[in-house]
Amino acid sequence: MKRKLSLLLVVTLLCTLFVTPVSAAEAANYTEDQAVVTATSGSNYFSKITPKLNSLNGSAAMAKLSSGSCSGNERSITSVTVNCRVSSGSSRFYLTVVSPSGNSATILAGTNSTTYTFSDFIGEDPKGEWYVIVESLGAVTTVTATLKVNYNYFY
Amino acid sequence: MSISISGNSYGHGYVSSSVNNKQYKVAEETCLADVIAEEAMMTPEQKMMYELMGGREAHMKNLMRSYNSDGDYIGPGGIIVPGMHHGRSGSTDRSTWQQIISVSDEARQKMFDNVKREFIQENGISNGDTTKRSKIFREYQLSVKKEDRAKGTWTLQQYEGKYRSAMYAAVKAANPDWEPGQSFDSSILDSVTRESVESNLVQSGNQFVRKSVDYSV
Repeated sequence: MKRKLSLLLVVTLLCTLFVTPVSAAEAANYTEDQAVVTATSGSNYFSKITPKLNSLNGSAAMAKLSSGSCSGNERSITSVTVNCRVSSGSSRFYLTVVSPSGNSATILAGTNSTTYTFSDFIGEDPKGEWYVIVESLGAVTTVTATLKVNYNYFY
Repeated sequence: MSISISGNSYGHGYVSSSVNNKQYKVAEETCLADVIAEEAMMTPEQKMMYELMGGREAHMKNLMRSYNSDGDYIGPGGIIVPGMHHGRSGSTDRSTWQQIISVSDEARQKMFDNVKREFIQENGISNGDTTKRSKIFREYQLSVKKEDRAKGTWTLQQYEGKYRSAMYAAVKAANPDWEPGQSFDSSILDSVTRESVESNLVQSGNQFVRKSVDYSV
């Protein structure tokens, strides 16, 4: 009898752990104060490349880049850089970055291929759509930009 | 939005009949010195191409398209909401807009609903490819005065993270072995409401922290 009871208990436990999906009944017991979750944290980054951006005579060329999947529940950007590979013969240009929350900032970029750092997005959540905008200051500017966003996260 | 540029009476050869509007003035203040400096550095070939494309007049006209009638930089097609552009990178201290301010219940509820919808849809993964959070921010920004947009957006972001954490905690509480990406019974989140999450938050500097220490670090 004792063995049978033990077996039943083991089977029940295994069902709970591996078979039964998380039930709404369990959820009903959840309150903000009762939730105990071990926090994990770390850092991560994503890096995305624009297609070739051609700005003619001040007209804007723009690329939309997605962060892809981001780690963690709460995130905080630690740095945003844009590496610009500028084609020869290009003029200087305005380089503008727009974050998923809609914040934006501009840098006056030169004709050499360089990495620019934007400090304006530190602390934001990087998840979502980013925009990179190029506006030539001369006849033509051709740029391929690599947006790199570093962030801290925790669960 | 667009501005008519004609005539030659302003001294730059691309003079506008609307030189007094803010769109023109801001574009001029912001860009003209850089454009002139660039012209001075052009090679003869570049200069020729520049002139063939309309020269400074056409150039300024193109640059001005990224400004609205109030002189705010709004980017191509108006993708930037006025008040959300912080000028030259680093020129404005982030602390001037990374502040907690009052955000309407409606805006917070919209954000909460979006976080919940995406949390269920993506099984707890933060998917930047499918998120609609930018739309929520933009709607909020357009619903408040320009001065509050960046601050309110920062505040809304702080709430957003806390909503997501609360949902994660709820699913974890129901099933400690659950990991993001695994399916779960979405009715678990019925017990997580915006009010329940917010009632447990307290402001600390420019962020929110939980009142009670529920997390073991």
